[in-house]
Amino acid sequence: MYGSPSLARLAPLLALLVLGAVLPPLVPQYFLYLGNLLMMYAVLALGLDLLLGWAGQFAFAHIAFFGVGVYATVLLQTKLGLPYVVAMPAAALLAGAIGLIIAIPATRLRAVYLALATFAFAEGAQWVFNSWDTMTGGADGIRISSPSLFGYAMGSDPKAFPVMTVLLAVVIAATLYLTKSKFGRSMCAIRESEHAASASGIDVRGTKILVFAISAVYAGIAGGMYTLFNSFANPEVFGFTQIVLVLSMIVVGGLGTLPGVLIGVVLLGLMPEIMRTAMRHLLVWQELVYGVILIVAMMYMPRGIWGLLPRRRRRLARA
Amino acid sequence: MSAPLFSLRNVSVRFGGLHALQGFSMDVAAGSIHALIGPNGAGKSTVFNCVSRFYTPSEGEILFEGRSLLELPPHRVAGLGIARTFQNIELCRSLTVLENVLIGMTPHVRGYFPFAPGRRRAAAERMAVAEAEALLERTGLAALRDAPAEQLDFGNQKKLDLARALAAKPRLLLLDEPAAGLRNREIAALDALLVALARERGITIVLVEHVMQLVMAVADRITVLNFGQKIAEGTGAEVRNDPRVIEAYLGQGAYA
Repeated sequence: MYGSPSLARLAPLLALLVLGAVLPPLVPQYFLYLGNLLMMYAVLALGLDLLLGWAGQFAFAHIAFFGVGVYATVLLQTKLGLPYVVAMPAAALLAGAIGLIIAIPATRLRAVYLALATFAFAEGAQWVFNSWDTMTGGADGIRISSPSLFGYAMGSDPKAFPVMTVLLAVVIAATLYLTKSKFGRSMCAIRESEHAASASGIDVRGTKILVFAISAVYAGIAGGMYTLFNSFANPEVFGFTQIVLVLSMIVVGGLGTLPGVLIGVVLLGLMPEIMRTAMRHLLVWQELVYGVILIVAMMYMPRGIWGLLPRRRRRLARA
Repeated sequence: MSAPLFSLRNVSVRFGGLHALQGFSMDVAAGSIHALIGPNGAGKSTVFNCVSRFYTPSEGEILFEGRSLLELPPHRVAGLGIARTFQNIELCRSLTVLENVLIGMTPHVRGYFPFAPGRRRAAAERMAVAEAEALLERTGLAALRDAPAEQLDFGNQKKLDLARALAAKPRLLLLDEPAAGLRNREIAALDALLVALARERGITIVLVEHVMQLVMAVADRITVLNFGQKIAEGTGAEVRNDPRVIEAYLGQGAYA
């Protein structure tokens, strides 16, 4: 139940890596693009889920850390000439450091006040992305020259795909390691009853700050993943629609459950693509569509799709 | 009386204009069962919430084994060996019975920092689970091991709240109305359990309780609070006949 990941639990991760190595020559590029997109969203959603699903903190600064990850990964390469393998982790750590700084005041707030304060931070970050022309390119956006990894140029979907699978596998392994432990229990205890947690010896504020920072690192990594298969980013990528989309993914899939979040990522991550191709006339309504899905999910399946599955099977999957 | 294990010295707590506690002092002898009684709103739970460091008194001192609790952050209190239950039952409702007990064991489970080496951490977890299962066995919750706490009936939720507190291996146990809402048969079992904890395992117990049948049966000493002030202290017989206590409970003129 708890402890170090067993081989059986790691098998899906190995399968993911094998797919990463085998699929690119076999599958049309568009599908690889979708795969890359979903893997990036998976990292973004798993990070938000630590904060929201596990620790129960309604914080929306996540999308800003995603932006920090994208811009910092690009700028550390172009301005400082660092290679991607250094720039991406550095950008993720930068996002984590900003997360830590935000968390120190933010963790004094609760519920709706935390939501509002972190939302304000995300809007502030959006303003910085829009205004700091010399670094971010402002509203016109920033061009992402394809990063090279050990001499292999990225920038196309087939080339990025195997790297994306490796990054996702690392993030999933890290998530399992963090959650199947005393730390995971501490997060749950804080979500369910701060009084019981505190009286049981859990450092409520310290744990919240740590989760906040870790969640920001996830968002930073997702930002670094974005730069592998996109050639352009503008502040709209880090806007309100995105945070609603990621929020919908974890709520629809199942808050605080790793398989549930991944299911939510696949279902909702494909929605914009389906709307763009099959239901063009719906595209202008996409924010409304997410909103409706979110409300319906919260009303009729508060534990998400994963929560609808029979309990015994879920236990097996967790064991 | 030898040096008290736990004492409050002249503690005052104010909420705006309301004095929840006013210059309240109390000494609890090691190994004793000490009841804290008084009408609703007298400040009994406020005492516990000061110990848990949810409230900080405006004046006074709280000492455990001679050490000031008010200098510690809230999460360090459990580590000293002080555990508590809650009047309104605070459980992690969607977590299982076992997980709730594991949360109670927090001060004793190693590897708080999530990046501890995997194998050693796994061994610590296995030991913790085994210990938690033994505790569930003792408290009669073993059959409910994997049930979510919210699905338990009221009596079992109370038991779990207590089991979670016992999981911390406390030397001082603060119980906030453990008998409230229990049936007579369950109260008799609780009576036996409290006496066993104090006499056999040497756990000092402070009991906030309205069920006088339980208080009179188990308490070595009783402190009576009213409007944030101590109005009486002594054995059951002494307190029961104190005119000020009768007045507090029954109103003025009741004893005349």
